[in-house]
Amino acid sequence: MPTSAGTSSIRTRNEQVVQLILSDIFSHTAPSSTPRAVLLASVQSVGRRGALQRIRHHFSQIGEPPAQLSLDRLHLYASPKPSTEVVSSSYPRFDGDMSEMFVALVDEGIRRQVNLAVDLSDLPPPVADTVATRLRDAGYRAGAMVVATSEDQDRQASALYLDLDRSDAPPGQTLRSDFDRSHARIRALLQTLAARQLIDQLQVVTPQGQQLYATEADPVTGQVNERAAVYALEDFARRAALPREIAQSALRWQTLAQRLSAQQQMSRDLVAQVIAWRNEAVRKAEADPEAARWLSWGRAAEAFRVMDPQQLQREFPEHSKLVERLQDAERYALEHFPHLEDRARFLSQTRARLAERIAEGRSPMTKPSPTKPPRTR
Amino acid sequence: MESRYLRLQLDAEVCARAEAVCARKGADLVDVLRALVSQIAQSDTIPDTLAASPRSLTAEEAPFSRYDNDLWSASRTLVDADLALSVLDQFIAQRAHQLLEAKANRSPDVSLIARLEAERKQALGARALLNPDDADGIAQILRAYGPQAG
Repeated sequence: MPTSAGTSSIRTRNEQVVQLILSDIFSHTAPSSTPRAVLLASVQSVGRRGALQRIRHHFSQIGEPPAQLSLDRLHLYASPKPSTEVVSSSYPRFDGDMSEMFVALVDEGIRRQVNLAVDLSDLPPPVADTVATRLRDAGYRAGAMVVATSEDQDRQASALYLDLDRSDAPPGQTLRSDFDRSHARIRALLQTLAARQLIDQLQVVTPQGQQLYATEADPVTGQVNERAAVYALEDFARRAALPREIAQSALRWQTLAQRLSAQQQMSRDLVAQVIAWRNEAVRKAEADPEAARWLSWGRAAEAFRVMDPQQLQREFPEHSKLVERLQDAERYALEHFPHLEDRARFLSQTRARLAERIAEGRSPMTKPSPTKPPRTR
Repeated sequence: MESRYLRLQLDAEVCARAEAVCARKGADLVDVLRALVSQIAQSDTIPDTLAASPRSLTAEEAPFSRYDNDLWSASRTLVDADLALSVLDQFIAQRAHQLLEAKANRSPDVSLIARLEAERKQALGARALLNPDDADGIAQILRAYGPQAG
């Protein structure tokens, strides 16, 4: 149990950190005469910051930049990453309750009358409820924005983040995330917000921000129809992928497996998980004749981008005509481009064009498919 | 017959891939290398394919080692935006804590405080302006603040 002197010291330290958080969170914000709040609810952990920023960008364009609140941003003040400079045992940290802090920041936003972009996704349900209730009681117009995703997209985004983030910070959730549980949590949150009439707009969007569904509160009952939104969310998550999409997913997993397994410092458990997902995606693609064809074209195209002609000839004899064209291009480049850079650029463009033809199933040596390749979006 | 050991130091990933290729063909990498050495000795030349490409494939040149634009552009912008915002947030929080600590010092270093203030302010400004759909802007942030930043 902390002594009274210890408690006082923590309080003083917390007050200092709280001032910093206030200063950071509310910098570059402006009050609004009709303040609004957008409550973000996302199954996918990677992409939430971007979604909040997209909301900020929208409000900024009308001259009312909002404050953004998310638990993961607050956590940085509780356990900042060690710096290469000025780090000591007295490093000030926030030791208070994060949920209380979150609600206090919402209250501060209300006091300042600024628009708010609030990530409710990870908040404990009672805290999310408190936040939405405070906003409604303060006269804010609040809308919920739900980001829909599929399990495969969610997994790939997490694995991609893991590869690109070369710092020590892990992505918001582990690769073994429970997609179904996250979905259930978001559904329950929407039901609460709708049933308690805490929102007057509801929108379902893709991770890239395209709208899938939108509705407003019924003017008589004051309630939004969250069932249709949940249907849109589920429909997006469970929709059957087209053969080409199945193949593209398998090709993306191939890249992730290749890149992550080449990283020495990467956890072998995570790599094993990514390889298992890659194998799963490849099995799925190979089980569908149309997807299997796209997959085989995609593999050959990727080889075409990187391998030398001799290797290509050995590995992909069915594309020998295009290999010959590549060799012709090499000879042409040697004769006509004295500068190495020009030669490399020309060959790189030629490779890319030939690879694209293979990926699209337009290689002259590719056996004609019994059915026409499907139209893709 | 007098024998001799030949030691090779190879990239572990390249070696693993070569072993996998040999395994698919029902062969062992060491046996294949032994056969290659015999072939070179007997034919008094090296195979044309190797002569044309004496270099082994590096990890970067292997298929699927790069993010192909057609397959990845949508997810890359999304994840890069998240990463850019994350590194900015980390930077801002870090500078804020460093400022607190620097100011609490009995003999504060004024120039250090001024530098930390300026860096924090600049990062807050960059964060405020970041457009999550602007791939070039995101790339700039990652270059300036990302894990690879100097």
